[in-house]
Amino acid sequence: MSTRDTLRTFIIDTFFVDDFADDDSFLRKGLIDSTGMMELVAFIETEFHIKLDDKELVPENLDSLSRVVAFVDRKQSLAKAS
Amino acid sequence: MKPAIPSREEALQLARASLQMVRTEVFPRAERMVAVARARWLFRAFQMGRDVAAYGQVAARNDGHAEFGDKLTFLGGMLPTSVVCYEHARLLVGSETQFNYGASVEAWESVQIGARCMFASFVRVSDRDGQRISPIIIEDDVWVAHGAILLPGVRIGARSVVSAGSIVSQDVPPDSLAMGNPARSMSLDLVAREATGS
Amino acid sequence: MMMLGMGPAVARLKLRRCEAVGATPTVWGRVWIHGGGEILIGDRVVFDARMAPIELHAQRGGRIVIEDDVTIEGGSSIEAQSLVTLGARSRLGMWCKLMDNMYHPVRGNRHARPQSVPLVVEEGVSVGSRSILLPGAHLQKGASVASGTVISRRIPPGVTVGGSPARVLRREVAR
Repeated sequence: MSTRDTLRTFIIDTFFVDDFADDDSFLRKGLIDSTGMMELVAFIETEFHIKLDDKELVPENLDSLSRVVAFVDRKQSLAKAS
Repeated sequence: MKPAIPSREEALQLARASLQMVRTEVFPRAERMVAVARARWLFRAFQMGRDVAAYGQVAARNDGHAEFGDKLTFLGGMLPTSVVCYEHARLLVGSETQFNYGASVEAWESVQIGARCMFASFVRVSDRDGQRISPIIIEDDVWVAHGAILLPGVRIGARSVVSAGSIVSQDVPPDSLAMGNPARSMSLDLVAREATGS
Repeated sequence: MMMLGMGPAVARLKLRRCEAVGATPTVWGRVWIHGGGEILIGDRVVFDARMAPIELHAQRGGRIVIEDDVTIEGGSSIEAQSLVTLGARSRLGMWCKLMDNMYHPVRGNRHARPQSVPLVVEEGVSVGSRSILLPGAHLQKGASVASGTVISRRIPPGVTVGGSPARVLRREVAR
């Protein structure tokens, strides 16, 4: 499964949201609350074997599915490069 | 011509209105006065600003240097709040900070709490955990939610929120939300809209 | 008191501030009931507050509904601004906190009160000690919560969650 599908399945299964667009803001659409955001972060860390720094937990990285996917890809390529 | 004596309905209405006023105006004020007097007695060993109020039971003890600002509030409830400052320790609490019932603040070396902070029920703040003693600093406008535990050596940045049940072992930067065990902090922009809350 | 068969009568006296109390309630210790809201209690409910008091707080316009055969242990606190429901045969461990309102917004004016979201605990749910159920928590039938978990979302039937942040520990396959 691609990164996007894995994340999408997790979000739909865990937060019981109806279908949502890749660019929908989690915050503004009320898809994920703060506790949910922490669960998403924990899921990303275990699923993709990357470590997120607390400084990276900002809306630019995590506020919509497309941003999360881009962020995870970036982190993974960084991890591979090093 | 209007009769001089009010009718039954008018009299009843008047009685109801005055009862309501007693309930909303007089009782809260009387309660506050009692609370302020209580606080003066309970915190007699503390250096204290004006209008500190203790509505509930508080176990207070000061063997070191403890200083309170103005208008602190200690709410009452299921369990007493405890504020303890041990020998040679320093405990500073800023103005208008509120403590809900069951909160516990313990200073063995130094605990600094800023102004306008809010401590919910069962919050524990102690700068000693049995292994080390390390000062705790809590800046202004911090909200620590129900049951959170702040471990020694942490610094909580201004306007941050520590969410319910978290155990904070690392510093929390300003304007962030700390959550989990051990707590991680994320930017408040991620979880709350500007100025409106979530 | 219990030996004299006075238990239910004493319990009823302790729960006198509730709108409705079902058959044979049991109350050990102190239950602190306050606020101007409604509290409805079903049959054979047990409040075990010997270790620490229990708080039931329904604010004006708020409702707490505790259904039949619920057990609540000491130190637990339920606060309702709109609605908190505890389903039949569910169990709350010690020092649980259930609230349907955050009371303060995360940002902006801390004294404005945010919106309430009803909190529902369905039938046969068990909640471990020191757990915190935040507004919007919805534990479905037979779910169980390990101690010290913080929840603010729906938990599907028969699932065990735990940890902080919460994650699914076990899913019951056959029911």
